[in-house]
Amino acid sequence: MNKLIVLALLALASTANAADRSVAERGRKNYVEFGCVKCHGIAGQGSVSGLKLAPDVLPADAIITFLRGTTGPMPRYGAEIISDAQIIEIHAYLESRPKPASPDSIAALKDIRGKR
Amino acid sequence: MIVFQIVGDEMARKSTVDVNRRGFLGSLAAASTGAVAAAVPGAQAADPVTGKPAPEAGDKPRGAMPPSAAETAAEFGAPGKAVVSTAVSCGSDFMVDVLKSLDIDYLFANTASSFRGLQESIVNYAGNKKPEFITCMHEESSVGMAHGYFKASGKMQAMACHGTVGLQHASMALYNAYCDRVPVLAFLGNLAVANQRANATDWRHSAQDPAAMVRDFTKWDDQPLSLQSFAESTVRGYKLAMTPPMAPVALVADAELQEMELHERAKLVIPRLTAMSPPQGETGAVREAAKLLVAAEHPVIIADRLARTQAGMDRLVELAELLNAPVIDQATRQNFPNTHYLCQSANSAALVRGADVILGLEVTDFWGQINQYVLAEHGFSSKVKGPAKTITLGTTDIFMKSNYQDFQRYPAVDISITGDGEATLPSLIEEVRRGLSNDRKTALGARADGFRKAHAASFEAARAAAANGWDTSPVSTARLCMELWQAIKAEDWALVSVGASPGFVSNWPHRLWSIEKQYQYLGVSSGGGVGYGLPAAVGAGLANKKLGRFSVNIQCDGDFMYAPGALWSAAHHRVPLLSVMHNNRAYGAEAMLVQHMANRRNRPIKPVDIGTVIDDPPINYAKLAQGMGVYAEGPITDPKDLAPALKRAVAVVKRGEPALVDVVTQMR
Ligand code: HEC
Repeated sequence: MNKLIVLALLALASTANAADRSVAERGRKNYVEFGCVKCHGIAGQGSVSGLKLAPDVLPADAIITFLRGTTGPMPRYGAEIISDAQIIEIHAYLESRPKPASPDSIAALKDIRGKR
Repeated sequence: MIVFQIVGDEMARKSTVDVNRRGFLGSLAAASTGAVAAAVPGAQAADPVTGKPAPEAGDKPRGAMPPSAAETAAEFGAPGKAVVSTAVSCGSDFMVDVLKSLDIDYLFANTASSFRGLQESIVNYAGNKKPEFITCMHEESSVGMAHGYFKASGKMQAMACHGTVGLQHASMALYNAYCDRVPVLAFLGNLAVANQRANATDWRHSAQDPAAMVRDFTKWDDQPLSLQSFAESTVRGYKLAMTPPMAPVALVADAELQEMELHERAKLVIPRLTAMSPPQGETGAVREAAKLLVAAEHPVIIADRLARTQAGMDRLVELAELLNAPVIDQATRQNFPNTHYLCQSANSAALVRGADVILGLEVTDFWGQINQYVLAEHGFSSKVKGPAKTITLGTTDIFMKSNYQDFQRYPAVDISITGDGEATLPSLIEEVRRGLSNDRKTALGARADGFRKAHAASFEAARAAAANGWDTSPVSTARLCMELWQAIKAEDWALVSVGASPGFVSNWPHRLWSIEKQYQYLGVSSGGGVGYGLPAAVGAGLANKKLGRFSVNIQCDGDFMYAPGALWSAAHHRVPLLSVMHNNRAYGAEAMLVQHMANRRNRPIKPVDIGTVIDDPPINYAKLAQGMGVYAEGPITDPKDLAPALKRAVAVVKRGEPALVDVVTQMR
């Protein structure tokens, strides 16, 4: 393959990555500022107060629908509070999270079954 | 000479010594200021009877000047005539004898003038042993420590405070103990006889009925007006407080009684404490309950403040295994080993939904176990799908107060057994055993497999969930708890406090630690009064020191700032206690609740931080602890630093001292 074409492709790919990164960065900021982090954790890991959001992130439109329509324990987010675009950025942030390690690869989670 | 009109016993009335309660201290004050009296104008002008201060010259230089008579009077009372006590004993020595007869190990207190007689008797007459005076820096901490001590050891302890300002501080902590069914012997200093009050402060620090303030959330109180009745009321109070349902009692220790001279000690009698026997459920009701449980296809057992001792846990295991019935542990006590396959707390919603018989053991809010609030409907719906028979066993019906609403919504149940849960379990087990045919046993045995699988699945799901966000900063609560578990699991450990709720750390200890003994987890404040965590942990740490157990406290930052002085008490009394800060720099629960409001009203979220976030400036808990003589590390923000810091802190605690590791954490 032509060396020039390869270089051009690489350059394109890296600008696309940079763009993704900045969307994800904005998403992270939204995620904190709109309070998602309180209940769902910075990695989207979930807690007693909110479900796991990442990995296996719901599609962006499903998240928008859920935020707009929920009547359950999660507070409802109207369009007056957060825009669709901002939710899409949150989605990008959640998608950008690295896959969690297996608990067996983490010393403190490895041999803890005890008598179970 | 003051005549003891209020004192009923012979000895006091016959007393011929000047028993002005101010006499003794007054003479000390007069002696120490003797030289001053001549030099300071007006010093002798203080009224020796009323103690009314002499008018002061407004322009006299203060600085290094010795105290005026007025100042001395304000501090110690009016200088009376010099009286040297000829008595071999005094009222508060006798009070100490009463405490000794009850085997009280500690008196938790912040020193105060209204029980100075008692305090002096403890440190001199008793040699500061049984009870030992534990220096507390807030009356709320005094109660909190006694609260934690009891839950770790099963032994009630005493606290003392002014019946006025001290009790105002202590009251919230007494409410916590009341809601948590924990006994505390609270002594309220007071000076009932008005003409004995030496100065304005004495008046302010006296009340006509001091215990009125806490009567709504104590089991009993009394204001004994003689030493003989002090003895009887204290023994009665001890017995009442320790008989389930347990609760604090308040006893006024009148200052006059404390400070009176005692010449004829032999005439006073301390009544013997009769061993307490908890009330047991009625046989017929127990039998009916057993029948329902044996016949049930989907029984569920819910345990709240059930296990007072290890025997309570053992009996619940026996009952659950007999029936192969799942147990939902409410985490107010460790009622059931969390490694047992029948521990199904993680699946409570599904189990309650499908239940045909629900047994509540010492459940305060049984109604709330079977009904839920549905926000969208602004109303309640049943958590149970089909018709379920409901049984309650507990002591709630024996003792209830009207004002504070801790008794919860009224549950209309099918069988209500009034009796102590732990004490009634043996007869319930017996009835269940009697009702089980061999065929039925086999049928019930078939349930085990499903529960084993569900238990294993919950555990594995929790393990995987803990790995998610493992390396994030702020540190995840999963990592906080699991690094802590690694650091302590080789010890004979006890998780003595987790703040208001184990949910604040997403229940990680209950999900992933092995909690198999009743003493390994001591529950929560129960009243939701903030400022419980640290004092209760220190009190429990003191108890566990004797019992040879390693105490660990997961300490929430908001709670810490209510009573940080408890850490000094831990350092001063060499309490081995590992405190690990869950420092999310916020009042987390409220941050969520206020945000709910903003969401509901379609208003901005960011301003919710106002009043709920504690980050400007961030509080350095390690420095705070170090300032009080406690070994401390942090703030830890990189999760990799956590394990080594914990290791060092554990070594300090094993040397017999408190240690604190400040960890900056995520919200939950
Ligand atoms: C006060 C706590 C809280 C906050 C703040 C919060 N959530 Fe949630 N979230 C929850 C709870 C609780 C649920 C579970 C809801 C249910 O079961 O109906 C949930 C569910 C969800 C779900 C559905 C997950 C699934 O798998 O079904 C999504 C997506 C979600 N939240 C996204 C968000 C986002 C994005 C934000 C911020 C803009 C946010 N949440 C803020 C508590 C919260």
